[in-house]
Amino acid sequence: MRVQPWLRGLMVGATLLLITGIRQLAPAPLALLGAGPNWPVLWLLPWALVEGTSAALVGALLAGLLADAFTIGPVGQTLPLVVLAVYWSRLGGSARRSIDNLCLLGLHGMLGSLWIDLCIALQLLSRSRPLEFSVAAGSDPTQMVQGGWHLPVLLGAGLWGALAQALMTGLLAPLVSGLLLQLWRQLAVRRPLG
Amino acid sequence: MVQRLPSARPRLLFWRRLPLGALLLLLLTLRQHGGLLLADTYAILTRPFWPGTAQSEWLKRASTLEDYQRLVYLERENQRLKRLLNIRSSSPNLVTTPVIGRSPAIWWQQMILGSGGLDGVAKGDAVLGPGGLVGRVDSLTPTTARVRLVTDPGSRIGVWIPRIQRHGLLTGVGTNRPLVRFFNQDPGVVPGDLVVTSPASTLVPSGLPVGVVQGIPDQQPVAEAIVQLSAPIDAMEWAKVMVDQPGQG
Repeated sequence: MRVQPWLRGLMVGATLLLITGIRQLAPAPLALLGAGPNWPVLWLLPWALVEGTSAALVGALLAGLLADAFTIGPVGQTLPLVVLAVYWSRLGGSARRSIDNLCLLGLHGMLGSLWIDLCIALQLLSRSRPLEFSVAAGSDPTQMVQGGWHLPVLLGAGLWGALAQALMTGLLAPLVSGLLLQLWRQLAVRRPLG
Repeated sequence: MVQRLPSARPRLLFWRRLPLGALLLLLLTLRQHGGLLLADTYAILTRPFWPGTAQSEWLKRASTLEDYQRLVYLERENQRLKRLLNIRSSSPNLVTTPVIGRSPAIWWQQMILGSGGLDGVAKGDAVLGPGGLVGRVDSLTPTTARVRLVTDPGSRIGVWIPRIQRHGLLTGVGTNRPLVRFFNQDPGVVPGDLVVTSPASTLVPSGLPVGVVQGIPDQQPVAEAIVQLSAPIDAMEWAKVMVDQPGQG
């Protein structure tokens, strides 16, 4: 049976919107220490494994831009997702075959989440300004209004939040990414060659 | 005829009137001491017949209602006096809106509301939850507003500790408990102190409750206090946006 291109596009759009909706709702049962799984990573992982590099890049851009559209501030996860898309789409034959192992799928999801969080943390760190707040030491009090994600904050809430998100992503990847992997494979197999 | 001895009659009268005199003396004593012993005895004897807790609860509710009415009166009086003094004050215009999105990750301490520019919401408006301030509007669409929560490390809001009359800066650290950093080294803050928005703040209306001081970290280069927010941000399903407030940015 031949799968129409519009049906395939519809499935891509529907799944992207679904994960975006769940991401924004941030259901409490799927959160650990206030951090839920990285839904764009869960979507991109099976898509990049099944499709080629160019399709994976397009998927990463779609997922990343959609995710960044809903967040405040200039930092985003589109570029780290693009890097992940290239890496996952170019996995070698043996690695690609062994991805059916659900534990390996979870491991990829966990590492992908950590990579995204690392890139976001570096972006935030580069944008934070020195926080000088000691008036007694003669600092300028107006600098108190500057700041952001400084290293102590990153090593505190940021580190624990990233680890919690990676754990949740790793736990959900076998289920969510596994189901999406089957879906994309079915659509890909029935896709006409050329 | 037998003649009574002249001294026997007054003695007899004395002994007959002694109980009456003692009673009068007792009553006089009780009267002088406000019925001290009598009232206590009465209280002990009648304790089983005292009114139950129902009336006590009714009185408490009445007291709460009275406090509320007094608060409304004082609020109106405050507004009137501020108008007389030509001081711009916080507007009571509140837009009640549902929370339709939350922080997708630890890096974005945000909330998405179901009201936007079409509802009169503007960038910088203060957002309240049940209990107090939760953040400020960061960006807008016609029908939604994204709120930067006070727990976000990029959030800085001037606060005031009424008990010690000190200003501080409420700073998010990415967790549910932001910090207040004080301008002086030893402000004398203790756990339990109320934290409200600063009267000097140009970002949010003054006097909004924020939370209470939960603890004071040890060995910090500057005086800090950990604040437990009044509003349960994680459990909020509705929020109120204070539109048309004085200062922006």
